[in-house]
Order: sequence, then C-alpha cells, then structure tokens
Amino acid sequence: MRDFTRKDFLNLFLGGGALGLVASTVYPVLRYLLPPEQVEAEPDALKVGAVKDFAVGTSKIVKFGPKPIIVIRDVKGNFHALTATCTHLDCIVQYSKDADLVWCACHGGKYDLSGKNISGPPPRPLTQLDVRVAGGDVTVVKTA
Amino acid sequence: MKRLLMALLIAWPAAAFAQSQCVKCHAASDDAKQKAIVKSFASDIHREKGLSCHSCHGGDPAKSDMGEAMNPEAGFTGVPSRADIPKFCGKCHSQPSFMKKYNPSLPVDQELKYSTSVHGQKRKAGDDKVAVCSDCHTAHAIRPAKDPVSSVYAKNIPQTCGRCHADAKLMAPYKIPTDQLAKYTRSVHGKALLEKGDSAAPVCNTCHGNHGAVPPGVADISQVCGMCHVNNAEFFKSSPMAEPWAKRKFHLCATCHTAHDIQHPTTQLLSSENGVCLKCHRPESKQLQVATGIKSELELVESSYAGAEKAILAAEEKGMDMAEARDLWGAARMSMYQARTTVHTFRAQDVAKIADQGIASARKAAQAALDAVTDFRNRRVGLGVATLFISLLVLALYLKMRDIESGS
Repeated sequence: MRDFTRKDFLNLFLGGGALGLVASTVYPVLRYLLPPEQVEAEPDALKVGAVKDFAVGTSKIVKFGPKPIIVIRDVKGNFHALTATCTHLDCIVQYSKDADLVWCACHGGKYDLSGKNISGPPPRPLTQLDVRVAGGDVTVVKTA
Repeated sequence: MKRLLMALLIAWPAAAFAQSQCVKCHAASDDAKQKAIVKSFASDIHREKGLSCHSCHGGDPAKSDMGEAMNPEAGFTGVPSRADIPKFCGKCHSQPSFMKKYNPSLPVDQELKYSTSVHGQKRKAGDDKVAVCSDCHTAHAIRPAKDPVSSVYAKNIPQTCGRCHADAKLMAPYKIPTDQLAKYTRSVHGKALLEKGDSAAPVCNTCHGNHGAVPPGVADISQVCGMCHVNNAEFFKSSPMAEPWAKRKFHLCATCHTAHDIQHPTTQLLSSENGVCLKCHRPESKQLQVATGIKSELELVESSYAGAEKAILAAEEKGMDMAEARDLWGAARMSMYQARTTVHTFRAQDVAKIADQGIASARKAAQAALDAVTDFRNRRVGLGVATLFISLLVLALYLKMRDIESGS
C-alpha cells in the first residue's frame, strides 16, 4: 500500500476546499431563490379571502405586513377593515356582533365601525383601510 | 382676492376694537388696571369674534364724552357684581339663537348647570366668595378650551381649580381639604397629563363636571371611574364585593385606589402584609387567601412577560428578526392587562384562566428568542470555522504552489 504523502494530503485538502467553496456559493444562491415565507414589508393591498369566507356578523384578524388588521363583515353584510391594535395599550381589538362595534377586551374601549373611538380609554381612533370586493374576493387596500 | 378678503375679515374686529372710544380712553388711563384690561382683551376670543367692550358692558363706544358713553339710561351696565356674573355671561351664552351666530357647537346650558353646581348653590345662598365664570375663564383674556394658553385648557385646569382649592385660607370656611392639587399632580392621571402630555388623561372637570361641578357621591364614583375604566367597573358590579360594599356605603373605586392620589396599581395592593384588603379583612381570612392567589398569578404573568421582553431585546440586539416572537409577546401583554382588569371580579379562578394564557404566550416568545440567540451563536461559530477553513485552504494553496515550483 502506497504511503499517504504530504502531496496526497494537499491534494485532498484542496479538493475538499474546492467542494466547500462551491457549497458556500451555491447555498446562499439557493436561499435567495427560496426566500422565507414571512413577509415583513407593509403591502399596499392584501387579498384577505373570498366573500363566502366571511359570514355576516363575523370578523377575521389578519396580518397586513407586520401589523394586524381586523376585517369585519357587519350585521348588514358590509365590509370594514381597521388596524386591530387598540390605541390605548396596544391590545388586539375584536368585533362584537351584538353591539355591531369594535371593542377591546383589555379595558373595554369601544370603536365604531369607521374606527372612531366612542367609549372607554382609547385616546385615538383606529386607522381605517379600504375594502374592495371584486370577483368574489375581498381585498384590503391601504388608504391614500 | 381671497387672501385680501381673509385679511380684511381678520383685521376688521381689530380695527373696530381700536376705534372704540372705550378702548381709547381706558388705554390712555393712568390706572394700570384699566390699561391691563385693554391689553388682555386684545387676545380675547370675544374680540376675535368682533365683539367689543360695549357688547357686554353696554354704553356707546362712539361717544367721546364719558357721561354720554357710559350713560346707564343708554344701556350702560358697567362692571357686574360677582353675584351677577353668571347672569351677565348668560345674557349671550344661554341664548341658542345668539350663540349660533358665533359658535353653533358651543353648549348653551352653562348658566343652568352652574345653578346646580356646588358653586352655584352656595352663591344662591348668598356666598359671594365661590367661583363664578370669570374665576375660571378670566374676565378679559378668555380663550377657547382647546387653546393651550386658555385657563381652561386641559393641561391648565388643575392649576385653575387649584388657585382656590389649594388655598387653605380661602377654603377654611368650607372645611374641605386643600391637598387635591398636590395629590393629583403626583397621581397616575396627573403624571400622564402634566409630564407625558397626554391630553386624554382626566383632569378635575372630567370627574367633577365643569359648570355643574359637584363632588361625586358614593354611588356615582364607579360611574365616574367607569367612564374610562369600563371593564373594571363592569367586573366589580358582578363581583361578590358589590353588594356588601353598597350596603356599607363604601366609596367603591376610591376605597382601594383613593380619590386624587391614584397611583399606578401594582400587585402590592393585594399584599397580605400591607395591601389594601387588610383595611377590612384579617390576614388569615379566606378573602386574603383569594387575594394572595390572585397576586401570585399576576406576579407570574408579569414576570413571564418581563422575561420574554428581556429575551427578545437580547435577540434583537444581536440583529435577529423577532417579529413572530413580538407577536407572542404582544399576546402575553394583552393577557396580562386582561388579568389585571379581571382582578375586579375578585375571583381567583377567573384571573388564573387569563393569566395562564399570558404565561404560555410569554414562554413561547421567550423560547423563540432563546432559539434565535442560539441560532446567532451557531452562525458565529460557523463563521469562525469557515474563516479557519479558508485560512488553511490558503496555506495549502501556498504549499502546493511551492511543491509545483520545486518540481517534486
């Protein structure tokens, strides 16, 4: 059996190094081509589902970029979209079908469906977003 | 053209005011008080709206002769007595049709409300020292309540009320405390308004009313506090404490939180050593055990929340994306707030149910942060290994080249 010389060692090391170099180049390229699903940039519009997904008198909390929004189909069947973070202490608001308004479970703050703070501690209104219903889909659009 | 019209509209009341004979004489008077009145009225809302001295005091501003200008037969009323001031201001402010011309949104029931207030009742009974309109609004430097320089602007109200209510000498005949201003200033509400500039924070008139100012009665306190602290009031009403407290005529919210010196509530309020429950319950009582149980749950959710925040901040400092962990942390915060509010049910199981949700969310958030830090460390080790590997590779290349050059 032939001795494992310094030359063999160098050749093996260089071959392995070349493979490592290829891997360290290919891996970032693959990661770039397959980006993570998480989208943090704030979009201008977001499809939040089909009209049939929203029963009358229900709501859904969805993420509009990094921020949660509440999409409401009120008791009359109209759609509304508002930022879902209470302006008092940042709790997530909910839709109350019985009162047909938005309320915060933390301290009982209430907003009307246009986002206006109407009762309790919230100092400011929620931000309203536009809702477009087309082709059976519900899309929330950032107001200009 | 539009700009010219606007300029004329603004300049007109000022010009009319300057041409008034009242202003000319009083501004030239040797009496410093008269001069000061003219000076302060220059920025008064009434002057801005085109009114002048004679609009309130009567007389004829076109006459240069003092006797003619200030002729009672020509409608001059002069300076009203303190007792007459509410009626004097009410001449206009109680007339909807008149006020509509100037400010349709301004209420016209101030005089009526004043008559129901403690101030108004005492004045009716002959007390001439109680506050009248000009004590709070000033006489000749009146500004709308939304104007930051107004004496009745939210941030200035504590001082305006305190001018009388913090004056021990003035309040002595009424035998009421004079420490409300000092207490309010150091309270959670006072700090929010005066230090943080939160104009939504309650001031004196939020709880007591302004024109109809009265101290809230025992039964009214939960209504007053409940205007903002909605859930707390609702939970308390359904709690086992509501009925016995009503029977004993306790001052509801104020019993535990005090009236003017309200501090940010902490779990110490429920302490079995120095908490507020000890005012009525014995340390070994069943009620204190409930309070201790609630306190433990709150402390656990608070420490979990704080721990998660610390872990997230540590991960963020290392440049890790903590958006998902922040969402979980936000959910923990929400549960923590809800658990604190639920204290007012005085049911330990209700508090525990919500607190446990918060603890679970906080733990998940903390774990996500710890995982991120581990990921960061792994990356750093990886970088170190890669650097070492590349260095060795360079060395190997150097040796290989030397081998080739030596022809071996």
